[in-house]
Amino acid sequence: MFVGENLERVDALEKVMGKGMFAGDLRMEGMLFAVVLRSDRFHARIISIDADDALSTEGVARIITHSDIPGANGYGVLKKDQPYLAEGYVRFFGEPLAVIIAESERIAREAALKIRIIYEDMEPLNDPFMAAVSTVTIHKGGNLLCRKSVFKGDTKKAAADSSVIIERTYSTRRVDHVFLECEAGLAFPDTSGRITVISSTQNIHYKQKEVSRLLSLPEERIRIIQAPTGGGFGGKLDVTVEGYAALAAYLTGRPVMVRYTREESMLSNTKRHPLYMNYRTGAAKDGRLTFLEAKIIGDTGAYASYGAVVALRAAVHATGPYQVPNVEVESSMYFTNNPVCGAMRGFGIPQTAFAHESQMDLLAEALCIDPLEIRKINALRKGSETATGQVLNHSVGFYDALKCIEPAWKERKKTGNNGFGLGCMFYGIGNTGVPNPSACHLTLMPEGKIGFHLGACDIGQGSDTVLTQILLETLGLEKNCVLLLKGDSDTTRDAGSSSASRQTYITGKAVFEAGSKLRSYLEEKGINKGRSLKDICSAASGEGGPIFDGFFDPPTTPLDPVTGQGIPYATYAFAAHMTEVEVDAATCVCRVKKVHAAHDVGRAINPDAVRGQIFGGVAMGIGFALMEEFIPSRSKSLYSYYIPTSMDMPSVETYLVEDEEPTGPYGAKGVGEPALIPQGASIMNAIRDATGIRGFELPCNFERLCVLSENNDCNYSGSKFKG
Amino acid sequence: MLPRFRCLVPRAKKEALTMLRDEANTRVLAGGTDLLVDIRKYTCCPETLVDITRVKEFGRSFDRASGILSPTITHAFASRAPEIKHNFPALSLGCAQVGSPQIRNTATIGGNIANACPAADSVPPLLIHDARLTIESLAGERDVALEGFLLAPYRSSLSTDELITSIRLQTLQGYRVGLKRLSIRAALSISRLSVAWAVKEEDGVFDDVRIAIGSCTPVAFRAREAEAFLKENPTGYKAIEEAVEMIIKVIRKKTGERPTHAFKLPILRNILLEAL
Repeated sequence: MFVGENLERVDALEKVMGKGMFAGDLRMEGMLFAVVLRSDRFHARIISIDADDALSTEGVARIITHSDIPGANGYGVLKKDQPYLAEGYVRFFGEPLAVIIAESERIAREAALKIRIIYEDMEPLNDPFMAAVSTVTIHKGGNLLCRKSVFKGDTKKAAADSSVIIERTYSTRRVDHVFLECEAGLAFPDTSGRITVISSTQNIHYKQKEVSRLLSLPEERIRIIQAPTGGGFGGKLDVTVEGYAALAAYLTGRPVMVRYTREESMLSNTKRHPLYMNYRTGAAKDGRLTFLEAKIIGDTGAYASYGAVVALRAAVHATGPYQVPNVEVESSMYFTNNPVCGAMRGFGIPQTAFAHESQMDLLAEALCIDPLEIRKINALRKGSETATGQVLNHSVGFYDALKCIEPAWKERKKTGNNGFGLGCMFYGIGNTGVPNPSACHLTLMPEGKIGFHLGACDIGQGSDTVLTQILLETLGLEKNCVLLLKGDSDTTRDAGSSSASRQTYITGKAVFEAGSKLRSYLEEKGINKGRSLKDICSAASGEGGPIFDGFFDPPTTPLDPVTGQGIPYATYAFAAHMTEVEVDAATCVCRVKKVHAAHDVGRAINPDAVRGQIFGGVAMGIGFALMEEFIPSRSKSLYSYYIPTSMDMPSVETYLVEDEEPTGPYGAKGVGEPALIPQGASIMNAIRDATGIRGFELPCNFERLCVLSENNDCNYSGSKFKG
Repeated sequence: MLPRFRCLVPRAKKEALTMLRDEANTRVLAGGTDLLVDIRKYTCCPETLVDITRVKEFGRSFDRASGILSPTITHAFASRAPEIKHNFPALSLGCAQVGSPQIRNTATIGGNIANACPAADSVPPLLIHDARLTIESLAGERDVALEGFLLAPYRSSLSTDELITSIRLQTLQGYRVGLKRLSIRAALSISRLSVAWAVKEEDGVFDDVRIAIGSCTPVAFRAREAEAFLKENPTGYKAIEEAVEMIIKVIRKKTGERPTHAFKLPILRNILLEAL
């Protein structure tokens, strides 16, 4: 039995022994270092780049600008609009301009300081409201990246019939991922001219395609290997160092290392989208929700990245995990001259959860209903229909999650400066309304082991362990029978990105499929009749080495482009958090004391790994609600950008709900993002309970909270955005 | 990435002072938790560092009889040493809240003073003890009050060939001593406001009040005017409120209007009302 067991992480020994070679640790004979020079302007035309002094510095091998790129100078998961190296214009503070390649990192960095750039400044667009009306356009085709909508029923009619309507505007700020390991990668050409890149990444097969376009080489001439990766949270989905390392290796014919400092990481990497969310929610006297009208406006920064995905996910999840019969949501993303916003744990839902959970508490207050009660009344359950018209027939454990925290909620005691708040969420597992398959394969190795070829990237979340557990359970074999061969585009199939909380569910199912085929084969060959695995394996090589494929693509349908109706996800995760905070009355400093977190994960393949995700999500949610705010050109390092430390961590009680998902491996769904999503919202509701003050703007640090309490205006909505 | 520099490690005070006089473009390394950050950012580019933490005359000592602290005692030492905890509780508390254990193990009190950061955590507690500094160079020795020593953010009256060689504190018998420090997270954070106080009351009358405020004005300061006003005043709410208003007026005069006043001043008011 492996499923449901707390199997030790497969990489534990390597990590605790300090033996894992992270990308930045790699060295090769003749290796050069490359450093990326970035713009210190928000929006400007490049008049000239003078690199003569830098180039004549001893030890500098080469300096690359956009004209040296052999292939296409543009990348992006949905739209190839982001240049590797600026061509004519810079559109954000931190846009890459040139790559300096030198014998040492020190020489490269010092040479970079000698490059002179002449700009002609252009008017910068600092926020999406400006971008919406300005005559200045950042890209041809205007400043609107996309507009997504979800329409269902008749909200006007429902509004007329509602006993209470609450309308408020919420806003959140840019957040950095602050993964522990900064971006790093090593690229080298081999004698046949193939380029190999070893990097810290969440998706090897996608990177292979991008590097192939960049170098104008066929995909099979590019090999991407994932180094052990110290966190990603969505920040290692877009191309980071891979492009520069590959380009430099290709042009110099030598191995090249690119590794970012924390400052470079913060300057260059994508951010969580700041969203402005106007919510108008109605309810009947008995607490049942009647309608939701939401208008969401996002600042996607200078390039497309995952902006459209965030807009769509925010629209689809705008209701929260509740039955709302009438829905009208419009979600728009605008280009600005801010850092590129992209994928970050939760894809817009931590932001909308702040809005819908605050609305739930405001409705409860207006109707004199207990906050937990109003959530129970409206909870999505078996047979409920979502905003996109999807009927949920199985694995809807939200009500059970609420029941898990009910005892703690009922026993809560106000003792002075403390307060309690609830936050809930649902989250669609996998990509939204598009195919997002995963594949893996198994081979029989002559030495008597099963080769587990896995293209999914373990970025610290533990997918290698969980997927191994699924395979072992399926095969009914011992742990040492399997050899994990992973993260190499040469030896594995495309498992899709480690994002959207999808690896356990989607790749897990592909592993189950492959494992089932192999199990039948082994049974046929007599493994249960005393024949050894080793014997079967060595005989198999005579048969040409059979391969056992696994494949899974969750059943979804595309969403109607106008109404947003359809089946965007095959399954959803659900969660309810209850948080206790303490707010110092004199200083407005808020500390999180205790969190009760209940999650419907379908089936916990590895319960400790699930809990680990929840602890991490709670920590990140504390940062999101109370501390983190990335200010372009001012947030330069962790000196001024604050994330929580262990001293900010509350005690966390976890409750695992296992309402099995029939399409998932052993009933499993996902938990990576759900762990974070409700946390910020529950803190904000707890602050309201503790102080009587409701914040409408995140992060709600003591500075904002103090200003709110001074103004004593509980309905302060802190935004210029109306309707 | 750190640029290259030379690091000299003198073992005696005189040796250190000689190096400071003779070497060009030097900076004193007394822990380096601020200095190395600046060097790494290229905002400060010394050729030579003189590491004074091994100077044998300094050590990591506190002399109870004279109230003299060695400049190279670390924040960790100051936060843990029982005699400092007992005699200077606000200093001990302030030092305990600086940075992380690693920073506290390295950062020194002398370094914290000399760096003259407006948010230096040891400074407000030192100010309420009327700290005096002995400053030496090969040319001689002078004795200055900490209060006048700090001139502006990151600027003091210390010249490049001088060292702070001792820190003298007044012990405050019979005082209520406290410190409140405000920061965005529970640890490893720069203070956004810090207030140290020492209050002596007798029969419902303020006998002596000392208030020092950091992270609010360009230089941490003693609220002398309000202190004088409170002295010999009855300890009622009215006098305290008036004193707090005086302090706020002084801050406004020192800094002009600042956006951060929107939260700093109300919180400062709350802290002072609670403390007094």
